[in-house]
Amino acid sequence: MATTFYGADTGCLDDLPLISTEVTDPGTLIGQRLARRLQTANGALAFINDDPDGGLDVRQYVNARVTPNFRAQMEREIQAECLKDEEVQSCTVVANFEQGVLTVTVSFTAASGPFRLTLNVRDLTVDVLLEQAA
Amino acid sequence: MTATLTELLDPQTVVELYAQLLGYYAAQGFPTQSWQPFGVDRTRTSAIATVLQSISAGYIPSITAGGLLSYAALLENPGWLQLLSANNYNLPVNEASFTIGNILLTNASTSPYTITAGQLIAVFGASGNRYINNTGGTLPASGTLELSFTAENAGASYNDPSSSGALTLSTPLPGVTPSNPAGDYTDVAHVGAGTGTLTLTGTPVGNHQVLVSITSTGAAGVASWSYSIDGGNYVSAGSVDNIASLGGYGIDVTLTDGGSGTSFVIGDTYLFYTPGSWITTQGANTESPVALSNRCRDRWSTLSNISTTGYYEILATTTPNVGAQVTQVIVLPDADINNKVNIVVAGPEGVLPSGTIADIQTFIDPRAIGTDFPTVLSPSELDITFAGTLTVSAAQLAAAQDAVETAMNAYANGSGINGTLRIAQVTEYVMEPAGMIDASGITINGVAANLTLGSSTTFVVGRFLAADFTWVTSG
Repeated sequence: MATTFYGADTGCLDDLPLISTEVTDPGTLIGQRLARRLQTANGALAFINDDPDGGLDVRQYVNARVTPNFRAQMEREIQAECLKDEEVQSCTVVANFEQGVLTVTVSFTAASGPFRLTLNVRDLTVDVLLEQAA
Repeated sequence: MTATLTELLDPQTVVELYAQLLGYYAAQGFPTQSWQPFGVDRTRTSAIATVLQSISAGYIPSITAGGLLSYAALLENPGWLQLLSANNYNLPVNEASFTIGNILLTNASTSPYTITAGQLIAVFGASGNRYINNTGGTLPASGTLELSFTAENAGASYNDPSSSGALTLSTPLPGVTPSNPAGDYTDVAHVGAGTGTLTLTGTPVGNHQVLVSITSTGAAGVASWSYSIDGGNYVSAGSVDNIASLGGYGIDVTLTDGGSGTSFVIGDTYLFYTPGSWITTQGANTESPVALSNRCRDRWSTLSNISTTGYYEILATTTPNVGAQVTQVIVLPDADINNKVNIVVAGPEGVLPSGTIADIQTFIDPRAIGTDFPTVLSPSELDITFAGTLTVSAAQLAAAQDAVETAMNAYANGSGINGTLRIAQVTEYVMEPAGMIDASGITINGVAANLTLGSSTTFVVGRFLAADFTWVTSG
């Protein structure tokens, strides 16, 4: 199987680490990008003249009144946002509310395989778990 | 790398800076081609490029242009030029000044009023401009009192016309009404050491400027004097103490001895206008960048003992306390007297008060170079009437009429000393408002041709009188 080159980037989920880490693993590269994308307000990058249409801060959904329609709409919005990343070929999103915590699971497929990104969202914080899908 | 002036003045774009940064990264082996939106290094590079662009656009061109006179005058922020003029040329900018004028209070009641400075606010109905009294006094019952009022804010927009009908007090006194009559004459502005004065009577006709020059020392009836009307050649009056109907204009002048000392001293001048004006100090806007940069250039002429046009221009516009009022100045050698230099000055609203002219004359006299005989003059004012036939959409008629009136007013009053009013320009202005369809038969003062004001021997500035257009509606 041919190796797909995704380049390299500085490792960062929600802040730069004390020691700069170069990330080259495809799943980590894409997953971290998606995690940052899902914690950034829409259009925020326009302030630095980058993608004016990117970003969806999932914290906006916390404390919302949850109905089946709302949940479906939220999943569609998150899915659409993830698909804006050129290296995400497909993805599915499942969102669950439990005891005030929104859990968003993004299962996405890139050229190098399937991955799963899980975000546990509270009012102000987002915990991220990235793993290779089985 | 040494940047050229053009490169320093022309800011780089974010894209250009971003591309440069990518080039540096790529040269060091960074995989820049794979950076996607929300990638850390891409985001960081975009942020750096954005900050650099902000510096490139917001600071570097201003700092560069701010040190060069021609370029500093074009900057959006006039502070750069003002800094340059103050530091390199020792010329602080002429700040905006306040209009000051006399308002007559008429008391119809049987109670006198004691008025203190700052107590009254007069409001002009047409403009909404407000003026506050800077002097006080006692207004007697059934009497009048003239007080000096200062505009609420600085600027040329506060030069309201004399005899304005809709003048009221927003701090009313029962039975008291304000007015601002022009009077037949302005105050007489005297330059020199004599103690004598001029007494003006008669029934003057038209707009005129009269300059009286004392040509031999003595008391009234002994001293010789000459007079110049509207900047024309001096006419000897001999040693009489009065003349009736000066120049045939109904201006009666009487020389009145002072209480002590020498009444009339050779070289003294007396300046007045007819009709008068309620304004004693004309308000002006902050000096424009173009005017300030011109003044800086004129500064070089002050280093020479050879007089130039620029030398007298800078003296006129830098006269302490009144320089800001001088927004127009032309300097021309007199056509008949070889050492006479005519310095014609005007303000944003045309002719400046006689006191201002006298202040400028007083400032310039001791600074005249060699045998120069500088004479500060005001231009004559010529009433301007625009006419023609304008076709406009019926729905836009009222708005178009207002816009045309405003444009014509500004065009006539902004013509400048000895400027030219052009038919083509009038046509362009009247066609600008929304709804305008056509303009034909445009005339200026009844003539379908450009109007050039003044000449090499006469100095004239336009004054808007009327926009006398025939309006035709369509649709």
